[in-house]
Amino acid sequence: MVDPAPVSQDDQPTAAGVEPPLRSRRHGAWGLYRCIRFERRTDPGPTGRYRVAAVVVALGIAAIYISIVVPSDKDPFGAIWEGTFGTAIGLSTVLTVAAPLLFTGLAVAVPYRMGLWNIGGEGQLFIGAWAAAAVAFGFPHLSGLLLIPLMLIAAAIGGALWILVPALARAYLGVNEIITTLMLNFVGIFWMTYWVTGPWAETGSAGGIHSRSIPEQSFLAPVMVGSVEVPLGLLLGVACALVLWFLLRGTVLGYEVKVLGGNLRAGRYAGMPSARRLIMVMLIGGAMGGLAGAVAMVGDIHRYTDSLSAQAGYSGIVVAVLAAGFELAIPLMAVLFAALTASGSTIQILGESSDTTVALMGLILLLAAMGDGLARYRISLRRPSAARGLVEAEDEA
Amino acid sequence: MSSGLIVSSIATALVGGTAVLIAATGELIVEKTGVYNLGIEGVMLVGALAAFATGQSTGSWVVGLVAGAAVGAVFVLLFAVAVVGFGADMMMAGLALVLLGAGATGAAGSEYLGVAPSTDIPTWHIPGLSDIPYVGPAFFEQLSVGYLALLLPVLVWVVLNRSRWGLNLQAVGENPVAADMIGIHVKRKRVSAIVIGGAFAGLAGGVVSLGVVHQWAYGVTGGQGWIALAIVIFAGWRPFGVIAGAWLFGGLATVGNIGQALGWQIPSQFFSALPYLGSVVILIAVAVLRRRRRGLPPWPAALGQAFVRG
Repeated sequence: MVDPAPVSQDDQPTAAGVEPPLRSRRHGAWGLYRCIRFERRTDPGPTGRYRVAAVVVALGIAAIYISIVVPSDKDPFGAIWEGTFGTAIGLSTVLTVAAPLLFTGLAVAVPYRMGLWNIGGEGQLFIGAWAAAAVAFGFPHLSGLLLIPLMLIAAAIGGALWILVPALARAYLGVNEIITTLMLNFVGIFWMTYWVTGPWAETGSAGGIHSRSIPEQSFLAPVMVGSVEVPLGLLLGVACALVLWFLLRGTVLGYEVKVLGGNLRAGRYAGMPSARRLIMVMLIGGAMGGLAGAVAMVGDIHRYTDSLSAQAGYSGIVVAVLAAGFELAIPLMAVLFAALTASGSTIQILGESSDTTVALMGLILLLAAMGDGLARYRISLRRPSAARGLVEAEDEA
Repeated sequence: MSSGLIVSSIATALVGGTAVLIAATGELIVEKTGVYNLGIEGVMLVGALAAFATGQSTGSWVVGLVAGAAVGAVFVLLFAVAVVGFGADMMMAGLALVLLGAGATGAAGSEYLGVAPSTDIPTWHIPGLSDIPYVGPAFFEQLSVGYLALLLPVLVWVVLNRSRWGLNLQAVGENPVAADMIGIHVKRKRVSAIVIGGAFAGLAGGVVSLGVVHQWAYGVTGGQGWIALAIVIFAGWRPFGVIAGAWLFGGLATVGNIGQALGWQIPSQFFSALPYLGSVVILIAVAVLRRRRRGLPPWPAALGQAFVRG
């Protein structure tokens, strides 16, 4: 590996003015590389800019890939545009897909504020949807006005309970929350499979695993803006993002979470209740994950089934990371990734695998991670002549 | 419970544990240098598809496994460049590998879905030993690679603790700055460990597709890469602990077979979820036990720390 040297030491403020010695190589790529000046910052640097760049580069790679594998007479880019933002139907689809993504994004972003990773969104989604469906099947005669809020509350509680054990284990025993939250995804999926093939299975249906439909009054109709359907779940998600943004940035509670996330010991020394705050952010995250399932169910799918998630649990991680944990940027990112998911369906119709979008999300995440690394350096160009001068000076020495 | 059932269950448990044993041993090497690669699941998937496809076209499971390991080693270079080269967040880069591996194999593997394999990893009956009543069939009728996989942790232990290369590698994970000062090339050590870990994970994926499941399917490894991470923690970062962890996992995965054979009235999904549920319980139990013990924590002191030369 090549060191991105010359690198100045973090604790030497004067190092900026001192030119570290250069190796005596004048020509070729190495010489060009030497013209770029890397200086290590003490702060994380402008990560936002690099994350935007990561998305742009990844989308560029995806566009090149699509133009290679899909014959151009099928006009893949026109089809993708029509399937996402180009038409009212496309836009309605994107917004519908974005609603659960917004919630799974929040499910990751809130614990992330304290440096914790909740990658159990997929499991929380299925448990939340299960709780909502249980309420709907349990009280099939309630009016929709009462039933839907009850379902949402049940989903939030279900999701929060699903993350309770990982949260407690992390708070009191230091058990790595990444692995425990993820393991429970698999458990949640088997839980779902049991209910949709057993107690709630639709009798006489063929193909796919799904429950019977939830009562009709629990369907949440979208709001029409012009001819575009805006799902109410999306609006609820935006409201949640606003509330959480205020909670985490405008209250003492949020301040404590931030301090504890930055330096646990300093926060504890200042008398902040670290275990309680940790459990709080994890449970909020779990509740958001649970709501994702309920929102997808009442607003779109209307059944308890494996297609509720459409990988939302995992895309939510990428959404939260790209929004850099900033709650207000999450709705925007959710719409972007919903458009990616919708493009996946378009590509599938054109004969390519929709899994390409999963790979694309991985690519975006990888590039974003690299960008975070690069953002830690102040990068500037050194005049080639200056670089050469230095090399020559060193050669003479 | 009939003795035949116990025998066949132990045999299945050991077969089922082979892949995680290999993958966890690889991850152990990586973590010994202070880097954790959360992307094993993705690497295993890539290895599983590469091994299956190569096995299919060459008709040889050996070539298939070698291809799986090679592709796994190349695939983790992405992680190595991001984490060691760019100083990227290990968590993010690891998750990226999972998504990349799942997406890429899903897109590239569609032509192999439901295809019957043209080659299989054979089962070896150790002559003599496999004739011992009860014990023989349980322990000495294993996948050929299963026996070799048992040697891996032993080999890794010897290399890590008895060779200069291995001791230097561990020094990097304990204190990269000090290691750098005594002239160990920290970044090179980390990259080699990541590549070795990737090869192990790719090999493990090949064992899954060619030896255990006998086909290619989307997400065929079913979370075993994540279980391998849990096993490393369970093992306390000791190679021999990995063997115990892998057998324990394999055992949990076979409880379902016993239950089915005995006609227990418990939904099959419960048994399918058992290895994952069990991992959570085991991680918590290990943490409780460790709390009582004094002394240094078992993990490499610099685990998760990026290294930048100041």
